[in-house]
Amino acid sequence: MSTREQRTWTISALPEAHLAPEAVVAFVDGELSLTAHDRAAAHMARCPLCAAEMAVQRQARAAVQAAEAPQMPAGLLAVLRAIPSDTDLPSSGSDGSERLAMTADGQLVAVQRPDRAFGTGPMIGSSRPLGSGNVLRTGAFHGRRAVQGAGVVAAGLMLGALAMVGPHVLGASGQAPAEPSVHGDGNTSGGVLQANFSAPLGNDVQPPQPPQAPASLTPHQTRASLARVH
Amino acid sequence: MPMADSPDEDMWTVPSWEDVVRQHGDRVYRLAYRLAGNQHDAEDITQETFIRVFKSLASYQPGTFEGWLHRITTNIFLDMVRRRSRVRMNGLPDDTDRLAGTDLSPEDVYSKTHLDPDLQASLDELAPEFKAAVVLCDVEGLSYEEIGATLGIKLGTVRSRIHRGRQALRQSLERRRALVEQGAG
Repeated sequence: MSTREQRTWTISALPEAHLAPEAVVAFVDGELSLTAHDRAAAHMARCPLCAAEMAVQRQARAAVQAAEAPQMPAGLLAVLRAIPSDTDLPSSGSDGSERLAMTADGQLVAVQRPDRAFGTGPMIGSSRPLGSGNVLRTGAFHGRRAVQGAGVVAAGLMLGALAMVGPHVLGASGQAPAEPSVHGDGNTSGGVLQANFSAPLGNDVQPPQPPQAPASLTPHQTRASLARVH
Repeated sequence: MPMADSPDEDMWTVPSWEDVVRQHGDRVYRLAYRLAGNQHDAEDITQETFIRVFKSLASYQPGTFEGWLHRITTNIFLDMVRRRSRVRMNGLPDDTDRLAGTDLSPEDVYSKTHLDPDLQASLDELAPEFKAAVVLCDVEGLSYEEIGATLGIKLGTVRSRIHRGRQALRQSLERRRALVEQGAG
């Protein structure tokens, strides 16, 4: 026999290694690359031990998947819906980030902190007024890209204020109580932006994104200084 | 569901709290139930999840809302487990723990007789970290990467927890089925 044939013969005589447990589980869950998957499948076709291992994983998985989903008990939905009215929101955030609030009609909106200096950013009112209802809607949403503030309108209303003050905060006048006139052009914005969840709710679960900058509001664009209402 | 009448149909509008609860309540409850194993705790976990969501919205980082919910729900469950095991280790009576077979609501009875009682009972035998990994994979359908992000563990740990969790689960299921068959025979 030539040397090469001997070598070939020797190599093919080595016992094939079994699949590591991690490989078996990843195979069952479709988490292997294509080549790894094919290799594993080929191995399991020849190896009863690993095939049995895979069957254990698959059966356990199937048992859990087949189980009927437990439904929310009656009454829990009402409890959850009432959370905004039952829950005290923190009155200040130590990180100076934007806060999200609940308007009277149940919309989630974002507010700036009240303690931002004047003149640190674009003038309020240079963005679209809230009343136009289009503050965050340009280039609004594609995939999970965060909507950059189409001008951040800052009122710095505290969360509690919004929650308590109710309709007239965002009503026709748009003037919040105790708000100094921060809009040179008389924009009626109460200074809230619609919040930006970058992922539309109700869609299939998507893989997590790396942390991004807060979506819609850039802190340095605020002009705050509303009295804190709480 | 669009919140405003607008011709820009491709824009994404902010949901109301009502929307958030309606769209995600069932799924959160399902996860909470599979983790906790009983209705009472599942309700508590669900409520606490949404309270935290509501309170934490300001610090929400854009990503996936569902992933955020998974993390909150699972962490509440794991915190609950740790709290209770601490109490038990201190030798104090744990009055927040629910003993099997006691204090069952009608829904609990229904669950136990209709919703694969063996499965939940077997799941409940798993240590919490293994249970969470299996539930997130097989109930919620998360990828390994998502599970790692939810639980704050590496991919290798995800794989081994699912692998061992399922092994234990299957052993438990077979044990229970054998008992049932013996009883019927």
